Formats: sequence, structure tokens, C-alpha cells
Amino acid sequence: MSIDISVAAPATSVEGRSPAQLAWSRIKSDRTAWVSGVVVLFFVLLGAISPIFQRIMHLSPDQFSPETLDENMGAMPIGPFGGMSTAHWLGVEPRTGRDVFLRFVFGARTSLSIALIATIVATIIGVLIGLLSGFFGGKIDQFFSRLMEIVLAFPSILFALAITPVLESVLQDAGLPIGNPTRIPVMIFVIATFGWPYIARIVRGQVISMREREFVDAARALGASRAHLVFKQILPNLWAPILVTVALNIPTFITTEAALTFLGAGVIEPTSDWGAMLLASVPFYSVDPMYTAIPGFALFFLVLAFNLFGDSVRDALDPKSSR
Amino acid sequence: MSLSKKAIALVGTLALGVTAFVMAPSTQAASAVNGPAPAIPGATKGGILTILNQYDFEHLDPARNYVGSALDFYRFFVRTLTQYRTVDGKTTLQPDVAADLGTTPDGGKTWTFKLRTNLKYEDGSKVTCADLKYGTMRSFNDEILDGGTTYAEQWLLNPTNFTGPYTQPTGDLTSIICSPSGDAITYKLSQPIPYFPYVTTFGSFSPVPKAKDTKLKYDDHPLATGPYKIQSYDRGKQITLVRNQYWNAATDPVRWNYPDKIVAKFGYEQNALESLLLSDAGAARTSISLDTNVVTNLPKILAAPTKYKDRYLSFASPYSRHLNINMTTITDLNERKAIQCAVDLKTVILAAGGSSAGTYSNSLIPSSISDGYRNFDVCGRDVHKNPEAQVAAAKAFLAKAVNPKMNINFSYRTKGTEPQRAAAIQQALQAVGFTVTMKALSSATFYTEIGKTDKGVVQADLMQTSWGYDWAASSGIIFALLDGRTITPTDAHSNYSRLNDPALQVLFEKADLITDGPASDKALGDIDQKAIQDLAAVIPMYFENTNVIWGSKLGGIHADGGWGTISPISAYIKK
Amino acid sequence: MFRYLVRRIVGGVLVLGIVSAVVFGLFFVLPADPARLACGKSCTPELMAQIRHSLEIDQPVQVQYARFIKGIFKGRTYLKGTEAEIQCAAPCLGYSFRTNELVTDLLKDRAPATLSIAFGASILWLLIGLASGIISALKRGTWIDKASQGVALAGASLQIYFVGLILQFILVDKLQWLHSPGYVSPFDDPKEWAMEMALPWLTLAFLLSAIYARLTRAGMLEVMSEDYIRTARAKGLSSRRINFKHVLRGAITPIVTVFGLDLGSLLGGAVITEYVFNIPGLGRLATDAVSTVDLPVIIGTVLLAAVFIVVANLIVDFVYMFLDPKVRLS
Repeated sequence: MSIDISVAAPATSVEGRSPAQLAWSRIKSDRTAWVSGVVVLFFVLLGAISPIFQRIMHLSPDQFSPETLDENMGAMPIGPFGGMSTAHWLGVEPRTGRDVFLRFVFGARTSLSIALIATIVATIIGVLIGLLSGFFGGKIDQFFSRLMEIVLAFPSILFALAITPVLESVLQDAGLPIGNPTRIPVMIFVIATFGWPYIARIVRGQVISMREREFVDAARALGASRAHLVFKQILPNLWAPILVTVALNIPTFITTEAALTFLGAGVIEPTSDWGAMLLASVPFYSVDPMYTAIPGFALFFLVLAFNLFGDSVRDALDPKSSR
Repeated sequence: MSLSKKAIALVGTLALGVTAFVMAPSTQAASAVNGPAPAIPGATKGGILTILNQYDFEHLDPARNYVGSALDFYRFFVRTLTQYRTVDGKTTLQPDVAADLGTTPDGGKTWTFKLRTNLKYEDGSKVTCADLKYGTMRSFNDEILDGGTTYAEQWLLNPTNFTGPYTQPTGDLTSIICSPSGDAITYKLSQPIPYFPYVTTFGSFSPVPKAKDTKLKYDDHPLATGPYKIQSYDRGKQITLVRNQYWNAATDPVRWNYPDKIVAKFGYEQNALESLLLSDAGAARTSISLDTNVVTNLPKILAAPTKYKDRYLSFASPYSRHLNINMTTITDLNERKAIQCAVDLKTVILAAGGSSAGTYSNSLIPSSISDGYRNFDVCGRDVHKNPEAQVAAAKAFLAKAVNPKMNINFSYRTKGTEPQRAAAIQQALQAVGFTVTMKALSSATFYTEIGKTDKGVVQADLMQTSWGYDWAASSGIIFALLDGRTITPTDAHSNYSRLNDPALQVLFEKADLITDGPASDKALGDIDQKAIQDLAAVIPMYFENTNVIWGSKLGGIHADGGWGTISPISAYIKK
Repeated sequence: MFRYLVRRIVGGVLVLGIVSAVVFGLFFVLPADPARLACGKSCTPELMAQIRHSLEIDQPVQVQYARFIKGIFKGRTYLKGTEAEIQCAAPCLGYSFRTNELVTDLLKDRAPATLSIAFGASILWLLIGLASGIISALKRGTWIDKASQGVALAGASLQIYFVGLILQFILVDKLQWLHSPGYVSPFDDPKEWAMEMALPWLTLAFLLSAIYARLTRAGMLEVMSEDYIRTARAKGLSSRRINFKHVLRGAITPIVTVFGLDLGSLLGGAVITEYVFNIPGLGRLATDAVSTVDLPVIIGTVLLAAVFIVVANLIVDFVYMFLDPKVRLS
């Protein structure tokens, strides 16, 4: 057995008549939650409306602008701060002249979509397995616990790098087109595969503590089916810990996505992505620091905001667990 | 013609003779044959030369070495039959283990070299003609000693089907004959090769004593015949060379021996190396990197030219970067011409790092091979003056094309600036209406994958490839890249365009018979022009430049015309 | 308790067996044919078959796997071509398709760099994390606490590939306080070793100490509110003694757990760290092997990393059991 490192303390469920209302009122009065929530929303929104910027600027994120580069000076952007100008708000990419702002907002779209889908997939798997494991116990529990142990024994990043070309070829053999249509599903699969055990373990703990509670006993005495017990009695009472786990896992998934892309197992050129932007900026960090700083700080603020927001949600749902 | 695909997939550049051969080597036989090599002005003996590389040398076993920088470096301890010497920017071919540059009585089919008889290995034992012969014979055992050139196997007569001494311990390669006194060696070839003395600069023409052949382990310690020997070698990390007391400068016209010790360290990262050498701090002052083409920090150097005047060099490498259009999947000539016109060479060279990264090219033959090169128009314009995409012309060609394949599968490597260049090409093609599916492949698999011609394999329509010639003549380029005879049922070999045009093949068969260097260059230059201009099988983009920087305390660094790399062979430590 | 120990160890070995089988099996369906790669120049079908045979990839996967497992325990001999032999003593993990070196030699060769990163960085982050956590807890609510919490939070949200570049820009390129990261043996040149390792150590310490500071602070505050501490205080024990003897000890359990797991995963190859700073360690070996499709090296590195993780888990369990009697009894 091992102990989850990404989540500080497992939350216990909230007692009381209207936990949702209670939690909401707590969040409303929490300044950190507001600020971080707004930051998260801001990035999500940027990503969501990125095509609008493309329209306004009459420019695609993949559009090369050779006129913004100095051919005789190593093809670096002309002008200060990586070629910032009224036409290119955050400057241009060295050697290509692609607009950094557009690549940044489209990158937000890619990075966040992949991380969110991976989160949803991991959550569904984690919750299902956690439920089954916790509710039935015995052989089923043992099987899933072993499975989790095995998954967690894999050096995840390393294995993900090695396995990506294998899975890609499997998908391509199945008829999916080459490039991002196969790469992105593989990334989601890999991230979710190594992410679900953290969620499953917490859910399992919650279910075990809940399955002997009065209301479950009562339902059982009334002759409710197992499915009814699991999905109608126990699951609805688990939304709080699941929500907390998800909130705290999203930043981990975002950084894993960026790390995979950074290491070369991520989205493929010319699709923009924050990890890819960081990777592309590495050679230029000393000559064009702006280009590194933009995706780097954005990733930092987004993850920080998610972390703070996750903490706030947890505090709101279970004031005991923190401080 | 088969050149190793593996070699071009490797890290360094591989190249021979940036100088074209102006005269047939046989007429040079009377030139100076003895050492020592002319002294470098201001050079003194002593000190430690440090080489900081990103990667270890792939192979140092002379039978397996096929990478420019390693071929240059191992001259410190390996001597070959003939070898290059670059002094004051001039590169000449010199006899090395040989005592002359060879003579041929029959127009290049039989070659005889006189040998030096007073050479010794690092253990004091004598270098013999039999060792030289054995060195070539062991290179036949390809399946064990992989890597290296295949010229010996290709061109030496082999009536007994000798497969190498490891598989046939008692076999013999009868086409190499040592004179009874051991002071001359004769090679019998299956076809006239007028440039054979250039080919003998490769390691499969170096002496290896049979008794000391450690097979795979020989790679870690080839027995030294040069001014240095290997003291220690920790693969992937460091190799240390110290003086070889049995080397005699008077017998060696191509090597210098200024430093007391040479230490090469591996495992550095490109940018770290650039910054380190630029900073010129501490040990970096006596350091150079043999596999680092300065890219990122180039603007800093270009901005302060006087500051780096004595320790920066930019020179043309023999590396052509081009696009291959697959003739078997893009069958319509107008469509190929549309692609050729659509590619924007300017964005490509910007993506590669700007004008210091390379020079636009219209041809697969570099302008330095003056008999083969001509400046013909591609898509109706001189690409040197007008490298931008010809969008209108491209659209016009596309309109004329019959059933054009609008979805283009484009394969490229995920190496260096190649993804950015590929993105530039994708952009340019999309601008005229193509849809481009990008297929990124790792360096390790790229050339294998795009060469596949097996039935059922989805072949790429467009491939971003490169070629570094093995000797500076059209024959080192065009046979490998455009000759339809290289294509087999499973592999296009290096003819990635799958070009197999009947009219061109007639020209190839004629070119086969030409033994005169300039005439051969010219005939192949015709083929080059036809393949590019008329058939649009290839889109040349640029010839790469190499930009190198080294520590301020190093002198005697030069661009080696023989191997096309930066060379430390005449380096000395400034006092 | 002895039975528990044995059961955990057996379990760990089983997990490793499954990991190795999964890795082995999955890579068998890899698209790139290593024989075709090794058969670069003038490749004929005969040569190809010969190479397939000498790489042993012409055998069914279960045969290869059985030989692989047997090699780990008994060693084996490979034939390359017809004459050249490669002797591979137990524990044999095969030889690199690219360089013909034994995988175990490669691992041995690269391990020191990774060990240097892991131990140096872990000592640093543990010291920084514990110190700032303790100060935060004792000075709860003051600006020191807030500042240290802020830094911890920032550290937890930053990425090594970004922080590493910033620190390199400042400390190496601009101020030239540290040397460009790399690895030299501490036995050859201890000063240079420390100077080249300093940047990865600092970067990792900055990022990871955050978690430890948070854990220490939370753990101490929780223990401080417990009854027995109040009792100790009432008994008149000095507050320093209480803080260090009781409170810290009570808070240490989760820290040990997290530390063991972090160290375990770092020892298997600090993939991103080694990639960013280009340090020739196990992680770098693995990423290089992935890009050159060097299967035996990929399998070897993944397996070794898994061993580190499993062993770290076991040690954590045992330490946990030792620190917390409740676990022992259950």
C-alpha cells in the first residue's frame, strides 16, 4: 500500500441538512476562492473564445510572418520583447514569426481540453472502481487494490513516453488518421491510466466508511438491489469528496500533459499547446526570454489558481480538514 | 550506389572533399610524400586540448566509422591508405600509410600504391601490408561490424564470394595483393573508379593486425598508428588521448601533434555548450565542440563580430536540405510543379535559423562542384534572388493538374529545426489549397520508414530529407538520389522520390561509362537539372552552413575541406 | 508481524513480475522493427534474417520473455553474427541494440549521476521543507508563516522545466555563480561535481520542499492541538522540548511516507530534470533509448525504475509500521 501524495488529506463527507448550501456560502465568502476561480475561468474562457481572436486579428495561429523576423540575425523577432507590437500583442515566435498571443490562446484550448477530458475519464474509472472495490470488498477489492498497486509501480512519465508510439500504431492500424487524431487520444489514455488510482483509492475509503451506515442498512433491509445501493444510496453522498479530488487532480493532469508534450510525446506541430510552446522556447531562453516567460508563467498561474481553488472547495465542503 | 542511410541519419555531417577534384589523382603521384606536416605559424607544443561534444562518437573502429566529425577526429590515432590535409584553406589528398597517391595502368580498374615500410603501432610492432589487407577484409563482416562505408565490398573484385574473416577464417580476398617485399599494395576493381584514391581515405583502408583484432571491442580501442593513442575510453562520457611514442612525424604529412593530451567529453546539451563556449570561462578557453553547430546564440556572435573574430567560423557544409516528392503517389507533373512553386524557401530558411544557417539552393549539387552545378530556374525564378513562394504559378499548375491528390502526407523528422521547417512547408502548401497531414518520425526510424516500398505500406507523398555527399563530385550525389536502379521491391534506398524515368535512365547508363571527372560531373548535372526542372521530383531548399565557436586559447582550428567539418587536427594551446 | 513482512515482499516481487511482463509484451508490438534499423546499409533479406536471429526477435514473445527472466537470474550468452559472443552475467537484462553494451553496464554507468541528483536534492528539500514548515507552525499567522506558505504554494505550482530555465538564466548565464549542469564523478573532482549538480538540486529542492513545508506545518498544528501535548505543557515541560520531541515526532509519519515515495520515483530516473539539464543519468538513458527504439534499454530502465518504486513503498510501509504502533497491530 502507498499513500497518495497529490492530495494532502482525504476529505470526509459533510454532515448536515444542506451541505451544498453550506459549502456555497462558504465559498462565496472566501476571497481566495473568488480570485483563483476568476483566474481559472479567465484561462478557460480565453481558450474557449480563441477562434474569435483569430477572426478579429485576421491571422491564424499557424500563420508564418517572415516580415517580422531578421533573416540576418538568426531569424529572431525584430523589435524589443520578442517583437511585441500592435499587430502582435505578445510578440512573435523566433524563426517562424507566428503570433505568440494567438498560439497562447489556442494553446490554452489544447492543453485545457486534453487535461479536462483526461480528468473526466480518470474520474469515471476511478469512481467506478472505487465504488465496486469499497462496496463489495473481498476478492473484488483485493483484485482492484492489486491492480492499483501495479499501476502505481510503473514509472509513469517514462512508461508514457515509451508506450506512446506503440499505442499510436495500434490506433493507426485501426484506421485513425496519423498525427493529432491519434496522438491526442493516446495522451488522454496515458494520463487517465496513471491518474485513476488516486481517485479510486479515496472513493473506496469513503464507500467503506459509508456502507455500514444506517441509511444504507435501512435500504438494504428494505430489500434494495445492490445496484440501487451503490448508485442510488452511496454515490449521491460521495459528490463532495469526488469534487475535491477532481479539483485537486486537474492541475496535476495539466502539468502532466505539458510535461509529455515537453518531452516530445505530446501534440504535433503546428497545433499549439503550452507544453509545446515551452519546449520550442528552450533554445531561445537566453536570447528571447519573453518567449519562454509567456507560456511558463501562464502555466504557473493556471496551476496555482487551480490549486488554490481546489483547496477552497475542500475547505468549503469540509472545514475540519484544513488549517 | 548505396550510401548508408544510417550515416545520414546520424548526428554529425558526413562529407568528403569540399574541394572538387580538379585533376585525376594519378597525375599527382609525384607530389611530396614525406612528413612532417607544415608547421602552423605561432604554434607551440604542450597543454591539454578539450573537446566537448553532445554525443559520443558513434564508432571509432575504422571499419565502422562513417560520420564526418568522427572521421576527422580519429585521424589523431588512425592512419589510412590516403588522407586529406587542409593547410591555409587548401585541401589536398596526401599519401598516409601509402607512400604515393597510387598509379593505375588501365584507367582506374587496377590501383597500386607504394607503402611506407617504417610505420609502427602503439605497441611498437610493425605495420605491414598484410595488416592493411586484413583491415579491408574485416570490413566485409558487415553483420558484426555494422556502420562504415561499403565501397570496398562494392568495388573490389570478389570472385570467391569472400564474406569476411569472421565467417570464413580461412578465406581470402584475392583482389588485394601485397608485393613480395611488402612495400606495395594492389587493388583490383570490378569497374573503373577514377577517384579511388579518395575512397581509400575511409577507415576500411587502414591497417589492423589480425592477431589484435578484438572484433566488437576494437571499437573501444583501435590500435594507434597516429601521433596519439587512446589512454582511456569511457563510452558516452570521455575519451583521453596521450602521445604515441612510436609515431614519427617524419613519416606523416597530414598530422600535427601540438597538445600533450586530448580529452573529449560527451553528454553536453546543445545550448549549454553554446553558452559555455561563448562565455570563454575557465576550461572553456581551451575547448571546442566538434558536433555543435551554433544556432541559438548566433545572434549574439553576429551582433559583435570583432569580439569573436578569432574564434568563430562560418563555412559551407556539404549538406543539402531538400524535399522529395513521391513520384509513385503524386503522378501528375502539374501537381508536382504546383508543389514545387508553392514551397516558400524564405520561411524555410527562417525556420532553420536565418541566412547564417544556410544558403538557398536550386540544385542538389552545390556550386562548389563547379563542373556539375548550374544555376537554373526553379518554377521560373532564380531561387537565390526570389526565394518566396510563387503562389500564382502554383495555383495555375494546380488548375491544369488532372485529378490532383489534394491531401498530402508529409513525413519529417523530429530533430533540430526540422519540425519548424515542416510547419513552414505545411503553411505554404495550405496557402494554395492543399491539405497537409503531418507525420513526425523519430530520427531512429525516419529514413527506414520513408524508404519502404513494400506493397500495402502507406507511402509518404512528401518527405523532408537531407544528403551529405561522400566525395565532392556529382557522382557522390546524383547516383544515390535520383537513379531508378536503387529502388528494390521493399526499399527505395536513398532515391526517396522513387524517380525512375526512362529518359533519365538512359542518361544514367551513359554516365556510368564516363571515367573523366569533369565530364561525369557535367553529365550528372544534366540529370539533376532535368529531375528538378522538368520532372519536379525534388525541391532543393538550401545548403547548410556550419557555425562554430571555440575557446580563445585555442589556435590552429580550421574547417577541414576533406571531411567538411571543423577540425582540431592542427590545434595548439596558446601560451 | 513477520508474516506481514514476508507477504509484502512477495507482493512486491509479484508486482515487478507483472510490470516486466506488461512492458515486454507491449513493446513486442512496437511498429519499428529493430532488425531493420540495425540493418542500415546494403540490407539484404538474408542479412535481415541473420540480424533478426542474432537479436532473437524471430522467437515467439513468450519464449523471449522466458529467456529474459532466466537471464536475470542465471545470466546468458548472446551470439552476434557467427563468432562474436556477448557474455551477460546475472542479473542479465540483455544488450543495447545500438551500442552492443550490456544493459546492466549502461545502468551502472548512468546510476551515479541519478543518485547524485536524488540524494543531493532530497537532503536539500527535506531540510528546507522541514525548517520552513516548523517555523511556519511555530510562528503561525505571522508574516513569516504567510511568506513561507506563499513560497511553498508557488513551488507546488511551478514546473521544473520552467523554473530550471529561469534559474539557469540567472545563476549560470548571468551571475555565473554555478556551472552549467552536468555530471563529473565526485571522486574525481568533488568541487566541480557540486558546482554542476547545484542547479538541479536547487531547482528540485525549490519545487519539492513546498510539499514538505505544507505537510510539516499541517502535521505539527494538528498534533499541537492534541490532548497529550496540552498535558505535556501543563506538566511544565519546556516548549522547545515539547515542540521537538513530541510535536515533530507526531507529525513525521506522513513526511516519511511522501519522502520515501518521492525518493523512490526520483531514483528510477529524474526524467524531466535530466532532460532539462541534460544530465547523463538513468532518465536521460531512458529518453534516449525511447527515441532510438533501443528496446532492451527501454525495458531495463523501466524495470529498474519500477524496482525503486516498489522498494521505496516497502520501506515506507516498514518505517510506518515502526513509527505508528496502530499499523503494527492491524
